[in-house]
Amino acid sequence: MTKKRDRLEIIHSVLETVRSRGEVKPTHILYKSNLSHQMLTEYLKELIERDFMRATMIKNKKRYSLTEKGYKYLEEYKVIKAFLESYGLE
Amino acid sequence: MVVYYACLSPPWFLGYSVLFSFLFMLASLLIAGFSLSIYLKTYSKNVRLFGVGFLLIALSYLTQAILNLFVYVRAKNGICDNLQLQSLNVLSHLGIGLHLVLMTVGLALLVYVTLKTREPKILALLLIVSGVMLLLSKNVMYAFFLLSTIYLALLTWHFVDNYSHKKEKMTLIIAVAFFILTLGWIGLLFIPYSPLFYILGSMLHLSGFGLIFWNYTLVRRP
Repeated sequence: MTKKRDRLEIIHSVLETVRSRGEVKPTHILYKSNLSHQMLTEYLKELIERDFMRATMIKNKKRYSLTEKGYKYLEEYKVIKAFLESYGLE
Repeated sequence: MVVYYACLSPPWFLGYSVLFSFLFMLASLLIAGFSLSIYLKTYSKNVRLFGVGFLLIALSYLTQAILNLFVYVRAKNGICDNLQLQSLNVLSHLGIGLHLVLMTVGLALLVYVTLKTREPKILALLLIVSGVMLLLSKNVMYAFFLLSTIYLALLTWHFVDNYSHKKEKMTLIIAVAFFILTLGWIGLLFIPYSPLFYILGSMLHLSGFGLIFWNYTLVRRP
């Protein structure tokens, strides 16, 4: 049985998907992140509010890309995860 | 009546106990600061509470360090005569009270976080029971040691359980650290029988916080 992903892992997965492509369509994130449409919409909204990602319109189509804060979060992810795992806080 | 436990320490150890209190404060402050910096990135309420818990513990050790320094400086004037701080002023009594309250609330917060419940009534229950236990006890210090030992034992249970799920070096270090800290608090329970238990408790605390610091350095360079 696969373990349920925690919030931290989902955020990491979404950000990593966006980072790997530079500018990404929402459908690609949906496919890669393995989330429901509703869940993904909520996560994207939160990540934009927290300034980890930005949404831009290119030829009338929405594209997502990482902000500097998003790149920094990905760099620090391993440290954050190691700390939370040490104390069982995930 | 308040019997401040530094008064039960062998006189030659008082200087070390001041130093140790400052070291415990620094280690706790490090974990608190790091937790709160992670909270700013993850917005996890549990991490925020965990950070606040360690921050209160750090402040508790700061008040302990100041009190121990006071006892150390004034020990030659017989401030600990009859094992009571009768000659202390109101401010010092407030300091002891603050130390107990900060440590108790800090540990209760950590236990609440490890229970992984979002029910605030559980936290209220922990704080009320702790407060009643300390207020109604005839020997406040003993009740404080007993309460802290219980909280530390619960935390150790959580960290051992965490290690059993994730058998990694860092989870093991934290489980062992909190087990040692629990033993340290148990040691303090026996201070009235021999001053050696004060030294034993302090040394176990030093080892426990040493392991927590070691884990912190490992986390920062994964």
